[in-house]
Amino acid sequence: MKRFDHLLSRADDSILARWWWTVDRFLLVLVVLLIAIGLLLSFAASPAVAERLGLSPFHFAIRQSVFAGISLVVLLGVSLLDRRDARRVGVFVGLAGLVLVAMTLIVGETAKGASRWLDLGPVALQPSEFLKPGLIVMSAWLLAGAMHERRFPGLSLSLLLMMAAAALLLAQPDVGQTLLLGTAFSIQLLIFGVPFAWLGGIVAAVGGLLIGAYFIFPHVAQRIDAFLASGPEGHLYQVATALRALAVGGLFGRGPGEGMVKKVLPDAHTDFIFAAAGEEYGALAGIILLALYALLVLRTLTHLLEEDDPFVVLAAGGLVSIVGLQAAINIGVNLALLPPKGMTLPFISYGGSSLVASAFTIGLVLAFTRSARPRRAGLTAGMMRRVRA
Amino acid sequence: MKAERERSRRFTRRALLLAGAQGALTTLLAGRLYYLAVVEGERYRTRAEANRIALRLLAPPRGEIVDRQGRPIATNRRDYRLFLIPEQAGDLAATLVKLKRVLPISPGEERRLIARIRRSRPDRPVTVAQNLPWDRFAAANVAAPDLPGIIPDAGLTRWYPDGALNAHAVGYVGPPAPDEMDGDPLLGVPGFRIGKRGIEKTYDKVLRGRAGGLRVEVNAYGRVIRELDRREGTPGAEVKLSLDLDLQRAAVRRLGEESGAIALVDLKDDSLCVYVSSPGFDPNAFNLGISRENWQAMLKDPRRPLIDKCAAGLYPPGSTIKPVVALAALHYGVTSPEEKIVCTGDYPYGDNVWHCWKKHGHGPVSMIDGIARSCDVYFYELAQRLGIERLARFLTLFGLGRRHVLGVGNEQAGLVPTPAWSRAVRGLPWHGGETLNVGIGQGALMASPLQLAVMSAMLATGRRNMSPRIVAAVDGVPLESAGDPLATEEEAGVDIDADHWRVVRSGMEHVLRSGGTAHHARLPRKLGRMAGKTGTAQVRRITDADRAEDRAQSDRPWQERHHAWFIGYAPVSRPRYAISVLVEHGGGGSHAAAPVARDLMIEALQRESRAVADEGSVSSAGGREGR
Repeated sequence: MKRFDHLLSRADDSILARWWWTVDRFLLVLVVLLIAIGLLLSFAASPAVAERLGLSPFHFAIRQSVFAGISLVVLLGVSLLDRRDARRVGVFVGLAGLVLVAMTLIVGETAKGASRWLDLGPVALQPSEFLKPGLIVMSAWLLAGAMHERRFPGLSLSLLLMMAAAALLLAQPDVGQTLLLGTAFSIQLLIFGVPFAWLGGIVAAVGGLLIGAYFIFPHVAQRIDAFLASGPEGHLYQVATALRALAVGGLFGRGPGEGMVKKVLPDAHTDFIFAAAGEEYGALAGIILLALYALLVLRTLTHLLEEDDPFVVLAAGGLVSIVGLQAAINIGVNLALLPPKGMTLPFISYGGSSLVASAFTIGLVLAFTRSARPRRAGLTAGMMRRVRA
Repeated sequence: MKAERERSRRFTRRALLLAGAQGALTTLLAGRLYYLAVVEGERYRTRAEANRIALRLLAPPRGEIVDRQGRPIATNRRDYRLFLIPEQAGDLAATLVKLKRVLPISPGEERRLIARIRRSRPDRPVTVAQNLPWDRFAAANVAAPDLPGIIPDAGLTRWYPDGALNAHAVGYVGPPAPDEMDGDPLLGVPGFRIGKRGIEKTYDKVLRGRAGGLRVEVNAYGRVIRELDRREGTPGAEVKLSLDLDLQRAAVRRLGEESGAIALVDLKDDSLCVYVSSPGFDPNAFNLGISRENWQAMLKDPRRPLIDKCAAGLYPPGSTIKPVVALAALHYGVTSPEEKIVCTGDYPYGDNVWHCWKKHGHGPVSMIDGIARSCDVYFYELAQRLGIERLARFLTLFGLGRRHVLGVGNEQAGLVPTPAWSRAVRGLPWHGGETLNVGIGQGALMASPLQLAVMSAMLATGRRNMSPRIVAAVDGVPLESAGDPLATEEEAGVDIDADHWRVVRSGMEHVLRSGGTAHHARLPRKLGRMAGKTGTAQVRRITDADRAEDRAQSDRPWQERHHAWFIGYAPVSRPRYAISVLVEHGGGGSHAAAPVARDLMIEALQRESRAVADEGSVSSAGGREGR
């Protein structure tokens, strides 16, 4: 860091210099670390899957490297924006996301019983990944508007917006993303100051939605049935295999490249990469990964403590909730605490849409949390100060 | 401003709440991960370590069964098959769907396969397919890594090159039934077969061999990672039969579509050169899986292809026992060779009249004539003079009513009826007329073709402590005797006067001479002469109405026709082979059975003389070389 300090003088007034002195570098390092870990794991976990599918061993790993490059560019590019531009980009992406999700219903690629993908030549785009951060920015904007101007019906509008998005997602159908978005929105409402009774009502509504989904969507019912009906020995094959991978791995893992269970673990490179990682690198690595996500969220929340702009608090809190919740849900599935959802582990799982959208999400967080005044150099000093305060 | 500060405080509170929730969530996940990976994992790894080294049994090749010249009767050939280990298959339905891409499985087969998988133990392999052509097997092999639990295997399977030819002697193999598990771990090896019938069953332990071992390292899925150590098993021992494949073929060919049995005994060592029950069945079908239709057809066939008529088929022996009755009569002095008994065609006894097969009688009949022309009245008279006890004693002496243990399984003893038997089994007193029936080989008297072949051999040689056999050697060691001799020394010691032998054998020679019942079935002169005896065994009682109509056998439905018998031996000067031929419902012994016996005897004797000639030329050639 020192060397960069010399390169970018505090007096320098260029965009890059201003960015360097105002961006939360600790958060930035966390995200880059997560992307790097994801890349490493995709080299370990995906060859087995690629071979099963008859592709060249490093098919997924190479593609993931390209996606990682793109996501870094998106991460840095978005974080360079100032708050207003970042909000505009967020709102634009949210609107575009709504349109594209609607398009998946008409022209989408159907995989595993759901049409979630848009075919864009060499890559397929999952617009719902981008819809989530966009919507969260939009609702933060609406709610913050309501806080500034009492007469502005921000709460009602944001509720309507979320219901429209939920309807589109459920039509795909993608119950997991709907729940995730709903929960992140609930957290925004919590920050916004909605009484707890209200939130209780939302939880009840989501519960109702879930029960409704159980009866309406056969694949949801099937997964939940399988999850509930089976004892510890009879989990879904996928989950049972994931558990075996973790059990084989133990605390320290079998060592890089030594994984055997991952060779038969379905979706070892996407939804079940956590278990695949657990086999080779052990539970300790899994706990470190958990700690990284927790730090990502906690670090963002500390900003909210000293932040005055309600929009920033709502937007950053909602955005980081998406990432944190998605990670928690994915890991919960891997640990057989939740029924399989088809949800990726942010930054880690293979998949361009997921990776770039996660980078976009945290890019927005970085943009919103850039301090108005330049930060002091060094991470610990900044943290210490806040702890003392 | 106050509202501003209030809002800020609320933000702070709620942010802290979120942080707390986040912390709790992380702790929950980390705790769960630790529990799964470390606490549960410990147990799991302990189990996995024990499973890491697996001992696989290697099935040794099953011992071959060969004929007397070492030609294969039962051998092994490579068989490409697929097994499925249910506990390794994971999602069975998904595996089957994938399997169907490389291997066509009909819905019915799939249903049966799933039923079998359900029934079997999860760690026991289930045969999914066998006898696969190479290309199918190769395709399955390529797909195997994607088919959890499916194990391609190129093993050995039993193969009977001659199909049905030796089926009744050799039997067949099949997967062990639950009650056949004898503790030999080999029986658990996928696709292992044990003898189910015949020699395959009797000599199963010898043929089976000893298991080899293969220590392999396996992964958590039971897939073999590497071989650690291999110990080949001991192949099963070779079992050499006394059968001669050429003669077997000739016998089956000669019987053709008839239902019957032939046993040919080599008098050099009392071994069976021919052991045929026709029609047979294909033992390969039993090993590889028999279709329901095929099985039903065999069950419904009136010729009963599944029954071994040679040792397990019991029939009234008819006139074939007359030489023994004659010997008994001479031995006990109830007649002399010269005494003539007048046959009028009828023999009144008690309130009934017994008939000779020849309607108007044979006139005065001496012993030789009695045998040669098979006069029933002559033997009614002898039987009546002997009485049932002495008659039964002699019949038993010649092997009737005793089990001849060859090792083909299911050898039947038949029955020599006596008053004691009648009281004990039937609960009826013996009727004097029954003695007459036994005297001509009818009534309750029952014998198998094998027993009559042995009786014929005894008549030919005069030996009675005979132990017929079909297994010549096991693992190259000649078998001295398979079973107990049929007669004990003491019984064999019933000393039959040489003159009596001469008379009876002369009678049997006359059977094939002019005026004898089988004159047309005599051997060509250069092969020497055959002695023998025809027999015609009634299947149903001949009623007076039948007699009045004088219905020919050929007019009757097949099932009601008489069984045709012939026993004999040749050459008379120095007997080499003894034979018995049964043609079920063949009509008369002289027409249906004797010619078959003659043709087979010609075949055997010609081969014999050729072999002698070959031996001679070889030794003379050797001699010339030596000079």
